[in-house]
Formats: sequence, C-alpha cells, structure tokens
Amino acid sequence: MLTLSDLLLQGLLGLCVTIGFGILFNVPRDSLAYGGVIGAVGHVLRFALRKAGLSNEVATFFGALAVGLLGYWVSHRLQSKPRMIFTVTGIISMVPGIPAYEMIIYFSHSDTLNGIQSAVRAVLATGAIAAGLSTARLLTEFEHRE
Amino acid sequence: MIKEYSPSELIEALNVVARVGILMLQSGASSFRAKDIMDRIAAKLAIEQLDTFVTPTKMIVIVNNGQANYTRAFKVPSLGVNMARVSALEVLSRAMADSTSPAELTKLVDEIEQRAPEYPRFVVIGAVAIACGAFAVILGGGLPEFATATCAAAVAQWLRFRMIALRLSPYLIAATCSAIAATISFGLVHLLNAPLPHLGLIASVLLLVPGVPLVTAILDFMHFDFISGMARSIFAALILVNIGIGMLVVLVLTGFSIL
Repeated sequence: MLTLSDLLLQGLLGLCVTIGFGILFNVPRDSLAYGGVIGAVGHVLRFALRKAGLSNEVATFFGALAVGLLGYWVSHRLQSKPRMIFTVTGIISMVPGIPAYEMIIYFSHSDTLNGIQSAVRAVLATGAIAAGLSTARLLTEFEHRE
Repeated sequence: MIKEYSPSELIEALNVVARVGILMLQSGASSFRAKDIMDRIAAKLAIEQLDTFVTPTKMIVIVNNGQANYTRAFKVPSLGVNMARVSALEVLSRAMADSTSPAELTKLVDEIEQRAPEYPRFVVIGAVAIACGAFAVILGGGLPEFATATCAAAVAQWLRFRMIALRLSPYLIAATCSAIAATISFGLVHLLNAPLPHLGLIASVLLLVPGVPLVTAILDFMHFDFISGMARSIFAALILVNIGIGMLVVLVLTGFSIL
C-alpha cells in the first residue's frame, strides 16, 4: 500500500540525494533548490509507479521524462540557466549504480549467469533514462539540430 | 558581418574560443553543448568561419577569416564536473557584446575560470555524505545503514578531494576511495549491528558512480555525436570497474558479501 507518509519520506530522500549531488557538482546556489525539487519529484514518481506494480524500467522512464520536462520548464523560466544543470542532477537518483556493482561482484564469483542478469538490468535502466530524457527533449525541441 | 583581424588577433580569437570549449568539456558539459557555445562566440566575434571537431578528450579548431586560416589541435586535460562554470560560460556567450575583442573575452574567461567553488569543502563533504545515507534508506535500510553510509561516504569524499589535489588518475581515485569506503562501512555495520549490512556498504560507494559522464554520453548519442558518446560511456564503464575492484579487494579480504 502506498501511504502519504511513504511519499513524503521518499520526497525528502530524493531531495537529500539531488541536493547532495548538486552541491558536489557545484550547481549555482540560486539553482540548487529548483534542481532538488525536480529530482525529488522524479524520484517520488518512479517510487510510486514501482509500488503500483510497474517494472523498474518503465518507472524509470516516466521518472526521467518528468525530470526532463520539469528541467526544460524551469530553465525556460529562469532564463540563461542551461537545462543540463537541472536534468543531470535530477536524474542522479535513478542512475543504476547498484546493478553495475552487483555485476562485478557476480563475475568475480564466477557466477556468469547472475552477472549478465545484473549487467542487463543496468543497461536497461540506463536505456530507460535515455528514453525518458530524449522523449522530453523531443516534446520540447521540435527542430532537428545539425 | 565579418571583422578585420590581424593574424595575431585571429590566433588569439582561435585560442579563446577553444579555451571556452575545453572549459565546458572539463566541467562536464556534453560535446554538442561545447560546440554550440564555441559557434555562438565565434559568431559574436564576427569570425567568418569556425570549424570544430570536438571529442571529450581532444579538440580541433579551425578559423577562416578573409585570406587568413589557422588550425590548432588541443588536448582536454581532465574531466570533472562544475555546473556553475558551465552556467557562467553559457551566460557569457549570450550576454557578450558584439564589439568584444578577443583580448577582452580572454579576460572574462579568465575571471570565470578563477572563480572559487560555490560551496566550501566541508559543505560538499557533508552534503555528499547525507546523500549517500539517503540512498541507503531508499534501498530499504534504516538508521544504522544511514549512519554507516554517511560516515563512510564522508571519509571517501574527503579522500577524493585530497587525491584530486594531487592530480592522481581518476581510475586510481575511484578504486582507492571505494576500498576505503568499503572498509569503513564494513567496520561500522558490524559495530552498529545493522540488520541489512550490505545496504550500508553499497550506499557508501554511490558517491563515486560516474553519473555525469553517463548522462552526458546519453545526451551525445541523442545529438548523433556517436564518437563522444562512446568515449564517455567507456570512461564511465572503466570508472565503474575500478570502483568494483576497490570494493572487491575489501570484500575478498573480509569474506563479507553484498549480494
């Protein structure tokens, strides 16, 4: 069951992660809070969709799509702030670091089958981020850039 | 409209345009964005024609103006992340007046390059540590896992700062920091009797995941820059392997399992 307190906790955690990495990436002070909220929204959406029974990849796709669209909107409103500041930081909580580590550990145990499974999960999650961000871009940038 | 440039001025223009591109790449921008900003600045400087070939580690820049023509190849010294610099250069490229000379632009770029980081080091260490702690909770951990990941990540980030200052290889930095973070979290999860010890350990090394190269690789692919995308993906993969090696050494020595 998805409760409001679950969502609030996840929102808070998403905010901590995004702002933490935003500070690591030296995001300008005036953009940090926007980036944090965008990351939190993306994370909560992904969490809720997974709880609702969707696969990790589909949930990640919609999370990344939300981050891409919100990033576009905010960078459009703030003017002269590149969208990358918001999207790259906002997406961080979805980057599949853990399957990537698992893969290396499995391979070191000569457990090739599980290793390949983790590798595929990592690649699919990265693909879902790519698909979400590109869909957001296609929806907001109509002309093809040379 | 094309401006008349003396040969030395044209070379200076080439150098400053290339420097902006290199600074963008060094600060974590994708290749198409570096190329965009160089094109925009060349247009503002009223250079007749600027051609660039941009990859994450090397760059070729060619300027043509009237009868003069210069070509230079540059190396991008190191890849890092600095969003404030990307933002400042982007603002500069849009806001600079059309009458700006290459020498004036060089001064403006110098100023941006020398700007102090937005946040003091202890703030960065604290913020990154809490972010890793939050990851431990997202993965399903509780307070002991949060504390473990936070402490271990703080030490790892401090160490990373020290190692970056020594200009060590990113691969060595990734492996060493992950080994140290894994050692500390191995000790802490046992000390705190954490019910899910593997989560504390995994979360404590997440600060090392090359998220920016991975995402900018995706952005490069989206803009049909396959060479840059491949280069960045492989860089990110090699960093991940090195994090894994650092972690693995500790896991093998301690017999601890994170699976």
